[in-house]
Amino acid sequence: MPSMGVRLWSMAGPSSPAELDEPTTDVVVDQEKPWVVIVWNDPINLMQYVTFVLQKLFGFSKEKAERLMMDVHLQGRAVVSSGPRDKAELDVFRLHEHGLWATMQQD
Amino acid sequence: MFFRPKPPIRRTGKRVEVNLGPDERALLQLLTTELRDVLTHDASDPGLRRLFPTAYPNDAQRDAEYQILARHELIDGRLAAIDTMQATVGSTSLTDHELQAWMTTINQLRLVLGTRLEIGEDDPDDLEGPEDPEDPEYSEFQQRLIYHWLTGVLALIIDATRL
Repeated sequence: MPSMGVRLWSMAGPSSPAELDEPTTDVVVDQEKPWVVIVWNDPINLMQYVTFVLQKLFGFSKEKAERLMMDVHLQGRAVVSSGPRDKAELDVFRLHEHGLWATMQQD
Repeated sequence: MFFRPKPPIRRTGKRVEVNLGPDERALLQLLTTELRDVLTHDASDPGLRRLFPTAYPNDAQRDAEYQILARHELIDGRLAAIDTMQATVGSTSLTDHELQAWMTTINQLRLVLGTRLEIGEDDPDDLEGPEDPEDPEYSEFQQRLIYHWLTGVLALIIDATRL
C-alpha cells in the first residue's frame, strides 16, 4: 500500500516498453478485460450538474454529456469511460470528487 | 419595461458577481462550518455516505483498498474547497477558481442534507410545512427549505461557470 501523503494516482502512468517484455499473467488478464466506469442515477445530483461534470472531466461535447446524463436519468446508469484498471480507478475517483455515484467493473 | 431583478449569481466577463444577502451568506457560513466539523471529526458518519461512494461493488477487498487511499484525498479536497468558500463567503465578486470551490461545497451540502432528509426520486416540488417552531416537523421542514434553496444557488453557479 503506498503511503498516504503521496498523491494517490501519481504512479498510474503508462509503464515503459522495457517493462512489458515479460508481462506476468496478471497483467495480461487485466489488459484483456477492460474496466468500465458506470455513473448511477441518484435523486440528489442535479441533471445540469451531472452534465457539467461529464463535460469537465471527460471533455465531452454538451450534446454527448446531456445524452449520457439522460441515460443515467432514464435507465438508471450509463457507462462513461473504459480502459485499464488504473485509468478507470482515476476516473471513478474524479467522479467521486465531484459527488457523483460512480463504480467500476470488468466488462 | 418591467423591473427585472438581477440573478443573485451571474457572470460578468472574467469574474462572477455575487449578490446574496447578509442572511444568506451567514447561512452558508454556518452550513459550511458544520460540514467541516463532520468531515474532520467523524467522516464515517453514515450521513456522509454519498460523499464516499463504493468504487468496486463486486470486489470488497479492492474496494477496501480504494477507500483507504481515496477517502483521505477526498476529505483533503473537500476541506480545501470549504476553506476557499469560507474565505470568500462575503465577496461580491469571485474568480473561476473560487466559484469552483463554491460549486463543490454547495453540492456536498446538498448531498449530506439530501441524505439526511431521505430525498427520493418523487420528492415534491411544492414546499409546504409548519410555520410554528414548536411543531415537531418544523426542524425538518426548515432543512428541506434550505436544501431547495441550495439547489437554486447551485443551478445559478452552474449557469455562471465556464468550462
